Amino acid sequence: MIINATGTDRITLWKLIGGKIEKTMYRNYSNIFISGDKYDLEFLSRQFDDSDWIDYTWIEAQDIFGNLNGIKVTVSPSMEREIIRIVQYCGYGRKFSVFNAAIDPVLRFMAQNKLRFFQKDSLYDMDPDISTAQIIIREGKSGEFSGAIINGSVEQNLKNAMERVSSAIDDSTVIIYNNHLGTFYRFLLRMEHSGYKIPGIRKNRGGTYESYGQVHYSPDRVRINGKICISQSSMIYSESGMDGIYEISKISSLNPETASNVTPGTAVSSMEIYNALSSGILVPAFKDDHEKEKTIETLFVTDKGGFVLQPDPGIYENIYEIDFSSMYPTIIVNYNLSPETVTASPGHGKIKLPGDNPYYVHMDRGFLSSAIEPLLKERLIYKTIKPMGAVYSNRDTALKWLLVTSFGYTGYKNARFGRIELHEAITSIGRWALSRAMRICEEEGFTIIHGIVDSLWITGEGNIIQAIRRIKKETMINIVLDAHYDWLFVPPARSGLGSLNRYFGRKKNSGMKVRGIDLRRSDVPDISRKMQRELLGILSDCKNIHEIGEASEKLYQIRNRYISNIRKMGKEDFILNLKPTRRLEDYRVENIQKAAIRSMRLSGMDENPGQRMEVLVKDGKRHIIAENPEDIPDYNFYEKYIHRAFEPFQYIISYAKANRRITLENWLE
Amino acid sequence: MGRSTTTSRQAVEALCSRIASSKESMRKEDLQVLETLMIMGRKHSGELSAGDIEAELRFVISILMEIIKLLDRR
Repeated sequence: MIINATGTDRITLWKLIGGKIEKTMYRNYSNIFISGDKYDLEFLSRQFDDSDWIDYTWIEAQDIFGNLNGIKVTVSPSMEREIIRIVQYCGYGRKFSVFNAAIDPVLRFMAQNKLRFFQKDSLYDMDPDISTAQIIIREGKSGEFSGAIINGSVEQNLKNAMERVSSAIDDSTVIIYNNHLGTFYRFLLRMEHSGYKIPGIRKNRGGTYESYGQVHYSPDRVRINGKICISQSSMIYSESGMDGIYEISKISSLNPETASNVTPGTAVSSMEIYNALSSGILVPAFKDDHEKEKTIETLFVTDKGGFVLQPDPGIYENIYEIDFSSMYPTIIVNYNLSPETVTASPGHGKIKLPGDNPYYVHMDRGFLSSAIEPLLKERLIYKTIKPMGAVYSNRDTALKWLLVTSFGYTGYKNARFGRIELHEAITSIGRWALSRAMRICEEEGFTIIHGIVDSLWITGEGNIIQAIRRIKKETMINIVLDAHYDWLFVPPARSGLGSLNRYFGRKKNSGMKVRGIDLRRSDVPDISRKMQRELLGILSDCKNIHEIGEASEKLYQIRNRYISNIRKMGKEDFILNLKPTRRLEDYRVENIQKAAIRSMRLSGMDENPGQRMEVLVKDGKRHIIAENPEDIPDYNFYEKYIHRAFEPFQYIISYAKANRRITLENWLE
Repeated sequence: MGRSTTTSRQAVEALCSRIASSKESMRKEDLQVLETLMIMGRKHSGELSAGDIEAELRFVISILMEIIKLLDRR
């Protein structure tokens, strides 16, 4: 089994054979393809002739849209940039289209040789047993090392910690580390300074980045020669552990270290590149098929997202929640959506897509739909068998992320196989499918309470199995019963309408489902979460609205207890996990975030927007955070959190006592 | 690609904030009516965005739908 590959012009393959790792070296090469006007290509070929070192041939090749004539240049991967530079220079940056370039060398090698990482005979098979060490370095507030945690065992003596970290690195192939504030890297350098031999320690600089409107920070990544180094802050690792990384590596054909560092979007893109290269389809190096011009009216009509049906706030009984499974990826696969199959005009072999967008689809199997199909099938299997073990659950989570991104990536401007019309066609079918589902549910005797993108909340005495069967048949998208609630509470949003993504309810025979309230948030202190957990514990015993009304006294008692005992709680209950999103100078108003980042600067640490930090607020009014161990929390400040956490429960009590949902009519009265 | 038009929700919210800016010049009793209208206007705007209808018109149709429902129930 291939477990890793490294290198550029020469690739070292790591094979796990009989529990031992064998490394073999192979030569790697790039076949770059250049297309363009014949006259321009001839000019380019003359330049290549003059260069004396560029070998090329004239060939006909195929991209996803059809055949192309052009020049194939075979070079070492490290020379790719130079070739691209020459081609762009000769073609003034616009005359030629370059294919099969700017590709990760390991991915290229794997695709050209049709190899896969972590290839298994069956989806049920376990991942290989690779020796792994988990190392967390401990550091005091003033920056001095205070020991390490190696595979869960704490070592407080610094000398012993170095010895044990050194042994753990020597004995393991996979090193899982935490480099928050650069601690791990500095510790390794300190070890080197103390005489320990660790081969080729280096770091790739992390940084602040923005994704879906949120600011994140990725710490510096540490690399050690001959080891697979995985950062604990890697998004894939934190979501799905090593099982998820092995799964992503298998699907994307990126080595596990790279797979742990890339975004799910890059992993999906790598999977598409692998599929294209291994089946002889050209991969565009740069996106140059720009969106066709549209009128502003067309733009407004086509550029729409998921469908939302606004709920009324209130408590509802006997609610079914039904969800389309992997809605957008299923639409891509079942409606054969791909950049080359979706068109705006009708024609032979095309059918009109459902939905409000004016798109047609070719019947010939598309590149993207073929690429996503196995991923979708695999995910459905893991989703079914995930109760059988954490490994399946982790693989399911990793695949879920890839599938979610596979849709978003179709609208990304630099996606090599993306196209905005494709993105629009997918959301259009999604809106149509949810509307159809609503209509079918109504025909089957249900009332629609709430709907958002791929989920519906309905109530009534109809036949839910029959409704689901009909929706699945008519929309060609799998839909499942996600939950059946005794009651569901939708709190009011600030607009006065029901909140779209905050709700909680008691599931029949299987606990509570909670979304969007403080219990699910990371930016509130533990006291808020603890109190809400207790409150929900009381509500989980209430079978109906009447019983919720009767439990109101108990709910108030819990809140009052938290307020009266606030001074008796431990400091850890007041820690706020903040994520300042700007540099100190960029904050215009004084607030806790600004105070936190200022304290970081004063203590000499790097201030990185998007980096998480834990703070205790000493004075909420004056925005002062605790600096010393003897500082105490500002209890008045934290009491507000308790009141805020109680708000949804205040509403549920008043609604339960009124024994109705809050319709506009009630509201007006 | 790389473009962004306002979503149907953003367009209605922008309309609501324009309407809300006139609150200062209203009598107290009229204010409550205005707030009711804004809730009514928002209520069906999402659903109406499925058609090619401008935000202002969606807002008005949504209010009319809610008023008719109220009258029906009474």
